[in-house]
Amino acid sequence: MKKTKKLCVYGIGLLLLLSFVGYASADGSNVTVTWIIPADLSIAITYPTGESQIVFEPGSKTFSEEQARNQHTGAAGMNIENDGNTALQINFTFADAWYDAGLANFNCSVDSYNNATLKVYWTNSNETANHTVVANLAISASEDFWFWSTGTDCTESAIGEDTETLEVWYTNV
Amino acid sequence: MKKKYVYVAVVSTIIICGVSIAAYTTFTGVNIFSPTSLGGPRHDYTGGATINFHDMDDTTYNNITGDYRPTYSNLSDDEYEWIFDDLPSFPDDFFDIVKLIYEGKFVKFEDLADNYYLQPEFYVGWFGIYTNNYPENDPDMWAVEGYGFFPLIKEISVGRGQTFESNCYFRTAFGVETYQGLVIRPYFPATGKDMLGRDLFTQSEDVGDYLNVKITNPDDKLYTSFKDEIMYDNVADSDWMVVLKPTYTVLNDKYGNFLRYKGFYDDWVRLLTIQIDVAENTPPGEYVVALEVLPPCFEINQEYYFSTSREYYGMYYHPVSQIAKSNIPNYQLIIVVE
Repeated sequence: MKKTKKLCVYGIGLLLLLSFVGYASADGSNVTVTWIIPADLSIAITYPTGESQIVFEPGSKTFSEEQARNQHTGAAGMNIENDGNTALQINFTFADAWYDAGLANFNCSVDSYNNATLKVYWTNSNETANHTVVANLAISASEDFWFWSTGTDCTESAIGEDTETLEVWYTNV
Repeated sequence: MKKKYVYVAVVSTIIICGVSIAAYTTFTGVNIFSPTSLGGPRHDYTGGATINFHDMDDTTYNNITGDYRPTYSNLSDDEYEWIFDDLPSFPDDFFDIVKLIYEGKFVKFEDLADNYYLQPEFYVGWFGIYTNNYPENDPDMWAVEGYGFFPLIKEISVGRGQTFESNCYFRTAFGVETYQGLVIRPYFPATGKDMLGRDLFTQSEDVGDYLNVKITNPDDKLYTSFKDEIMYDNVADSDWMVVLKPTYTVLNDKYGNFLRYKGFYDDWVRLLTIQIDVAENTPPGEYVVALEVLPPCFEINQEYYFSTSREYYGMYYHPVSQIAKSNIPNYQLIIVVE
């Protein structure tokens, strides 16, 4: 009887050992356990056809509510689509203080060209403010954004343009 | 005497079962043991965020495509061809296998045939997106940038002195019309994070002394100028440049009239392999390796913008911008050194 028990213990031990040998090759050699968090964090950024960024081309140094190039009621200045499998919060912020002190105001409307819904402002005194523009962008959903800017006696850099970086922050919710 | 036969029979059965289970687990990558039976992952990586899983199990034969691809009510026969024609056949057990992957039971990504991970249906968001991006694509807009990794986080346990590889999938977002040039760089973030961006643990500042990380696949290192055949001197040896193919391309006739669109290339998803060496003297504990995505250097971008000897040039080449940011890395590999 003792012998039977002994054999059974050896057998079970061997079974467990062999099972873990299988586990050990789970993700390449020598890896013992792999846990996967099957999330897919991805967005697609869309612009009016031909654009790859938001561009303003005012006709003079002083301008008011100048809208982004090629945006119109049927084409948002930017669209963000949730391509993954978790809902996202979308925030906008400028990376740095504006290069051009003459740039007085930059605003963005969400969902509607005519600013009927949320409108977000940055001025030359709070240009790095972080604004939530979409609290919950569902999986597969997308959101349109239209952009305008206002400036007074704006200057140009040596290469004839001024670049400000608007950052799009997307986070799981 | 009879007892002896019984012992032999019992032990033989146990050994055969063990070998079978080990072989099945090894060769299929399917972990038949419940993850929770091993105690679960080290952290609550989701942090409460909700992940959507596949809930389809359609294995009906599709007469249009000649395989088991799901049927889409708003696609014409031509559009099936335009979107999927470059992709491998859609397997009949696709949703069974994908379910195992999303449940963490199939972890050997390198063993998964490409006719699974190359299908857009592999990525859950596809089902809600394809209509807007393909049959009803807005001609006034174009998707310039978008990419993603799958899965978002992996946790593995290894011993000291080991060298191992880990894999993830890297893909273009749906409906993107550009060839995206990007550099992928492994790095050691200060902390491991959950999906909400909260710190889970802080890793040793000396991590670089113990872990050596490099990307080994895809192996198309594009550091040599294809025009001048000289090495770029401002791309580090640990960096990898990849050109991601578009997932939506408009094809016009010579007069600019719309002919058709094209969907996926057969390499729109890339298997990314990271090799990690764990030094013998690595202190036991938790470490994290992450991947960041950066635009290629100016010289590379110039070459792609202006070369006509490659398919991706001019306005269809887009070096990824750094305007889109997330509060967690694109991909985190949590390494538990025992």
